[in-house]
Amino acid sequence: MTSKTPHEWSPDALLSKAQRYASLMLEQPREEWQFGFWSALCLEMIVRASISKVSPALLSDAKDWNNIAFALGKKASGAKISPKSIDISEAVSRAEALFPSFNREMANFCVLHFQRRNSELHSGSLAFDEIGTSWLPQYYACCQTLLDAISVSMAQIFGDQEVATAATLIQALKDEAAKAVKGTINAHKTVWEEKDVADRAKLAKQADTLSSRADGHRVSCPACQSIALVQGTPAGPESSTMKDGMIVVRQPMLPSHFECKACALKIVGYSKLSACGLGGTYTSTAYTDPVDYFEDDFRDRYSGMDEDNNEP
Amino acid sequence: MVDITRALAIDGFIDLGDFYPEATTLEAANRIGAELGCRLWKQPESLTVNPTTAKPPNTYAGNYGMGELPLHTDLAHWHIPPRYLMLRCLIGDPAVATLVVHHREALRDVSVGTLDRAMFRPRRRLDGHMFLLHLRQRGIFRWDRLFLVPANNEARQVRVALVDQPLPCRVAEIILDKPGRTILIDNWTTLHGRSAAGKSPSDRRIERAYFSGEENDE
Repeated sequence: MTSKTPHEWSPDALLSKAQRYASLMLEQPREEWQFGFWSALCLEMIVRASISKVSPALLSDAKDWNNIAFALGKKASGAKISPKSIDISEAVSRAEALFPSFNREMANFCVLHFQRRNSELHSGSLAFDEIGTSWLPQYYACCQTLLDAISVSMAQIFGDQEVATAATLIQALKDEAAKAVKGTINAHKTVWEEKDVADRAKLAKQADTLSSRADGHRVSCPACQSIALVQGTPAGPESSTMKDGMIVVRQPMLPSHFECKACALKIVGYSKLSACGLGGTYTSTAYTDPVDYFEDDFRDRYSGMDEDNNEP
Repeated sequence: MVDITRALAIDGFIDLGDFYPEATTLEAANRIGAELGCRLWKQPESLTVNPTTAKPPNTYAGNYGMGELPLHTDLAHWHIPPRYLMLRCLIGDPAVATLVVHHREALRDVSVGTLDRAMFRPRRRLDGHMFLLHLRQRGIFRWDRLFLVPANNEARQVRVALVDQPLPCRVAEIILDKPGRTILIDNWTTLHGRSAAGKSPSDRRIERAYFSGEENDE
């Protein structure tokens, strides 16, 4: 097949623009506002390209089906509208749902970075001035995760030289998270060990009782070894099976939050959880009665009435 | 018939010699299409040598006329150009050569990273659109010094390598000298051009057919 022009929502078109914005970003001194500004435009193209790789239809604003038709390379007769795609915050949300490795922490960073961009473009605020470059490790972690998800190399977008810098920054981000979480764990461990044996046993027993499977995934606390809970966000599609007359729904989860009721240790964010060995995905399992599971399908306008009876 | 696909993969083109000289260009193209498993993209066209004044400036003839046509791939400014290109002699001219060279040889001194990151845009809007095109992506290589404008530093390096410096390799010269003499070129890997036609008018007449192909999903 031959074609004159690429689809403007295609991954290739969006990634080419990401590369163009990355070049502009890297031409700026890193302390200047333009560096941050172009970085935000580049990130938006990467987020959109990753979604488009799954299907360009996922970029369309579904309020008007003409947008979906456009995404699919069709134009309905009489359609005069300019095609409208989803806004970037919705795109981030879809990327989080589509790619398990793009975790909540990364999604939150993207939302914050896009807020800066909006503020820069739509207000008198100088959103990228004097913000330093401490955001850069997280920025590259987001880019790498999304590009990995669609099998595109960082070098394609940022070039070989910058990829080496990005790898160093991403590693430093992990090391920093590990250092921070190690300090927190040690502090809680010290306080825990200062308690007497009876108190520790009582608190551990309470923690065991309060850490219900219904509320999260039970793990051993890295500070006090009591039973604690990890909670997370969905990391892939759920699956359902039938067992012993019940519907069993299994949902893979990526940890985002840890809490120990015994020593009060709390750890928030995937990078810190990963750094202390609590970053493994787990499966949330729920058992549901089929009638409840299919409730909406069963319910009709006669629900709750007795059987039909033609006696007058 | 020789193994066309293998020859195209190695050299980027194949000189088919006197290829069914009694057949029409359409019949010859259909035979090649069947061998390649590709569809003929459009009806064969006839090409003649013309002075610049005879053609508009949006064509190669309008820019280069009787002079040398620089190495290029056809419709390089399109998102997906036609895959293969067949050139078949109707009236030969022993003084005029068709030039062919695989891009891997022509650009062997340029790093892979530079080639993969080089981006261009069409010099004019196409169907009202302006867009970026990679020098090579999904198995498609493209080059045109006239209709493509470099869009980044890597593209400017490629332009220097292909325009400002002598090529680091030999360019094949094929004389389409008699009716039926046919060459087939992989337009997604291989550059082609034409030597100058001289000052005197030439009766040279070549017919051209295109075949479409599928992109790699890599």
